[in-house]
Amino acid sequence: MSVSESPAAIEINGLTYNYGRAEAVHDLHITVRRGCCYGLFGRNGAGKTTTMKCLLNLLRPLNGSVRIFGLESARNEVEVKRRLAYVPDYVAFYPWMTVRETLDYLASFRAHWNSEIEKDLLERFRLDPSQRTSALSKGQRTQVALIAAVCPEPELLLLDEPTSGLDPIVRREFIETVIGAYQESDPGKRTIFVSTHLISEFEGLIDEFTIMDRGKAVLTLGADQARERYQKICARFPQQAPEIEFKGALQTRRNGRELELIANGGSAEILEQLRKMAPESLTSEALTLEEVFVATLK
Amino acid sequence: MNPQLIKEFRALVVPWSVAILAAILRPMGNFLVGIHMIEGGTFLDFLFGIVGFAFFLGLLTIAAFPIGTEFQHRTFSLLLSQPIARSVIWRHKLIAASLGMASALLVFALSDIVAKKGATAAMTPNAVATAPITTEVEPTTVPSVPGGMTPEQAEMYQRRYGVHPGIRATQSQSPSAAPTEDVLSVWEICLTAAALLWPTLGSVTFWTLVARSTLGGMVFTAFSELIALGIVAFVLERLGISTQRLGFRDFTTQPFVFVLASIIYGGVFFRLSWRRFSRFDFGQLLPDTLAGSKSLSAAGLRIEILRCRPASGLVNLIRKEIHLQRPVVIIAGIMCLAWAPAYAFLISKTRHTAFPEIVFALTIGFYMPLISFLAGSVSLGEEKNLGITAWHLTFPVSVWRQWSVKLGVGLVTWILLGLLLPFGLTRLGLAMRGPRIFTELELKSWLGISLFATGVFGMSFWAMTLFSNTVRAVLGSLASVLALCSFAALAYWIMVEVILPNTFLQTVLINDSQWHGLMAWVILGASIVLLALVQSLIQFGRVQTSWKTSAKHFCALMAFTFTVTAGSFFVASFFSPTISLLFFMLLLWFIWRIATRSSGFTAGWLHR
Repeated sequence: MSVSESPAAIEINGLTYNYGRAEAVHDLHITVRRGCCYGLFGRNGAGKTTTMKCLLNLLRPLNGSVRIFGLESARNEVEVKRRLAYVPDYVAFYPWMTVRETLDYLASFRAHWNSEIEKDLLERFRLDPSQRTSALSKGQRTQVALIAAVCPEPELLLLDEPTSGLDPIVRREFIETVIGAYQESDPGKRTIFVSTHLISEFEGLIDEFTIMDRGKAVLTLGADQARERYQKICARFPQQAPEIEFKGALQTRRNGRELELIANGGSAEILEQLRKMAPESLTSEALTLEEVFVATLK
Repeated sequence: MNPQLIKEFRALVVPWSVAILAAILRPMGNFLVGIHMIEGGTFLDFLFGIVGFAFFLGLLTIAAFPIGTEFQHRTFSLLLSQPIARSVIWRHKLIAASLGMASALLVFALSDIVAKKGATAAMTPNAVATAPITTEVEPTTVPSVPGGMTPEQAEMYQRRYGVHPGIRATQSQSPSAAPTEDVLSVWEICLTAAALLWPTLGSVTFWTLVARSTLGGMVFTAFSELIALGIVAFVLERLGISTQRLGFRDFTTQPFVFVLASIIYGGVFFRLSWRRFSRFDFGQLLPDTLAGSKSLSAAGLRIEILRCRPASGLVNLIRKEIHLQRPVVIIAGIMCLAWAPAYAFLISKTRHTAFPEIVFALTIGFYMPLISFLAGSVSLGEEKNLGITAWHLTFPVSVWRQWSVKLGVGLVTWILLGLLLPFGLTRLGLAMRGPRIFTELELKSWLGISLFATGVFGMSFWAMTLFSNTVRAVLGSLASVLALCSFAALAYWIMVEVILPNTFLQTVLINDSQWHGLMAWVILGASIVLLALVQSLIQFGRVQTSWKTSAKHFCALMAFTFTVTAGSFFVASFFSPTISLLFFMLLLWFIWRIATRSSGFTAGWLHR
């Protein structure tokens, strides 16, 4: 079966989960193609971690279904878990183990473990294998968890807020080198599903994304489509900016002679409309994913 | 009320409820035995022991929780960073703990007085006439046939059991009146309460701060208090003051010494604990663990065989589980240390010292129940405390395998350290010509206690999958065990007194003290624990357990207990062991159906 014919890496259909009366996730539909890097964006408490836990069969959905590589994670527990690795938002280890022992312990559950990558990453992150995990800082623990997730070279990498606690240098190194290298080493097969609110960090990696708010999917788009669709238009006028409503404008901000618009799909029409008003300058640029996120949820 | 005080009281609700429940149950049990509504016996005494243990544990938890919860929820740094003097925080915590403990002791005292008076009133001549015959019947007397039983049935009963159904258990055989003998007078209760409150508060606070955990504080306090009691007893003996038997009654005959010892002990520990609290800092902890919480399994000896290796995941799982049982190993070590001076006394032929008796009582009354609760709950409790549970479930190892390794290692730990170790220690003491009290627990009693305590171990394992931390799991399993026993007793009572009054069954059940009861109890206990374990397997794979889910499991277990008690008593009384076995198989099938129907997940796991 070719990659295009094979089932999607993740299929979430109508997922609903409640914590008591509080609805955490409501009727969520997500399909993640194999080989892509998928972002799940949302504010704190949007339902990202709950979705992750439902994917991993750690929470039993109230409604809907979850499939990983076409397999129901509840019924094919071990088979599914063999093909994925997960980095939780809060990383903890057994305090009596050293870094070396922790990695050995985690490797013992895997059929494949790339020791080369392990050695390389330990050096890059400047981690001492003989150090007790109880003596590691929060960022260092996340680094160990990332090494443990990447070394088995799984088909699917589930990352829940993976960069929280990492310093800027390690964060950049991790995203550009580790994640990039992981996906490029077997293109088309390695899938990443990352949940984060630090969207700018993953800007260049994300292929598709879903923005969640209060448990619901607000926007699902490809990253390129989003950049094409969401445009920031800036115009400067010789006199006060005109008080006109623009069709297709998500946000409009006037500051004296300046006018700033966020266009959702109708940027060409808005630009045409503005040109007719003879502005001193008129620019248009694609929004970053973070700006799309902010514009969507504001 | 001051919101800070409300917060302190709020934390005590669960242990306080357990202590209050136990405080009411114990005197109520004595009352029911006193008026012959229920029969006494070794098993009932053991149940009373569990209730007593629950009360003592509840008191210890109330004392330890105000400090312990700050460690558990990692809120110590937040609390100590507030613009409020440490002395005020300290005062709030002590007020909450002392009021909680005092109210529980008060409820116990009042229940005891009410139960004692009630039993006396019920046993007036009129009441005695309606109560079952408990006096010894002369062997030559022709016994009358109990009401509702035909002469043929009576004959059948006699053929089967060799005793005429009219002959009831003798007073000496029936220990129904025994528990009432232990009832203390009001002043003794007040003295005991005061003498318990002051040193326990001081001691628990200190040990909780030292151990940085509720559990550690409770365990160290129990040991230090009982060891101190032993030392007091030893000093009294050296001074020529006799303490022939262990118990508060004996110590209250020397109230001055007892109160003085309590004041000194409590005073020393209050001083030490305030000193520790006022100077408490987070200097030795890393920035991320500034909250001050400390895993009981964090440090320890580096044993090569327990070091994880890159291959053999299953063995690594076992190694990890052994590490997680470290608190139990530490407590077992302390227990062995406590036995060392007891042996020294026995070897040196210090015949009359109460110290070996105290250590023996500590072993049977505190150590064994504690280990039965801890061996089942500490492993998962530690993982929940560390925050590893959810992540560990994402490893490519089935939930079923992780669960069974955890249960297996816990069970082995319980058998080794909870059963064989105390048995061995006691037998060794007996070999050294230990006091007569050592022989009170015969092999048969050990077997009964072991079976019951193994059931308790199973229930604590069940509770740990439903509760968020070890202390709550221990208290929850204690409450559940008491509730299960109550439901079983209710089913028994309904069967005998209400549904089938004055029938052959009643005669068989009441008169046959050697009744096939053991078989029925084993069937009953095994079925209940098995269902509880199935429920725990279902919950083990979940990281979130709502109170509704816990309540659902609890109610299902209670309903099952009630139904199966009635059924198993009936089956075991009338049918052969083969039929009983078939009944047990039917129960197993029923549990299996529940497991596979209640969750499709379980079926997937079990079939793997």
